[in-house]
Amino acid sequence: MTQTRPAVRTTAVMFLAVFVGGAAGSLLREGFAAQIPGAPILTATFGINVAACFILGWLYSIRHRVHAHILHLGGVGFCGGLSTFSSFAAELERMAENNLWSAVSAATLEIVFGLAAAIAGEAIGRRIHLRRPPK
Amino acid sequence: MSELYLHAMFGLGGGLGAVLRHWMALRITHDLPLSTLVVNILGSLLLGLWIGYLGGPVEMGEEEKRLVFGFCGGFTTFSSFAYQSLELRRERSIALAAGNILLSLVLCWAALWLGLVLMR
Repeated sequence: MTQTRPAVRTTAVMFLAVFVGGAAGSLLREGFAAQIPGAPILTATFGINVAACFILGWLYSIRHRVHAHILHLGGVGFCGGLSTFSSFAAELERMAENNLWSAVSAATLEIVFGLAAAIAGEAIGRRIHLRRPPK
Repeated sequence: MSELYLHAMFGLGGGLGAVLRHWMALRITHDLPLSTLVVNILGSLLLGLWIGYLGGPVEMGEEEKRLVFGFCGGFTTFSSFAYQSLELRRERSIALAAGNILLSLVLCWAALWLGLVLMR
């Protein structure tokens, strides 16, 4: 019976980490979205999503070196809460009402920049954290 | 109503959304990132329904608005979607990665649109 306790506690801490990270990421996005004016295609959500991709790429490049709870807090929680697909879709829909091509180009840009940011985050994470110590 | 309280509602929604997203990720286990796809579609549908509902005649308090907006943002994720697409490209094939990107875009867009239309 008592053997299940650590597993229950680990699960509770995991979900707590996801909750705290998700709340923090969401609040940061809300704050940024109110501050950044945002251009017609390069909206505030665009910048925030790309930034979240960069952070997630960096975090996953060192995932074998950090505790699982850090990944839950920072990756699943914070990056997931910071980035959003629903607002992205809503912005595309709004753009498409005026001009379908501006929506398509915005979607393409956001995905290309998001992928590039994740790759850049990984590359930088590897360079900084996975450099072998000098002999 | 204090601004701090409204931010707290947004943060609460975001935290709960993230928890539900992770709970689904633990349950929908598949070698393809189906969980993220499903979560993003459902979150986009909910946001469409909510925007459509708020555009209707019903008066809604600011705290409920923020709670649901926060939830949709915390529930859906762009960063995991992008990272999983990269992993698909590396570990499986570029066709699967492109398929994931196109399906996510088209289905989430359609889900949001459907939500708006249903509430019209």
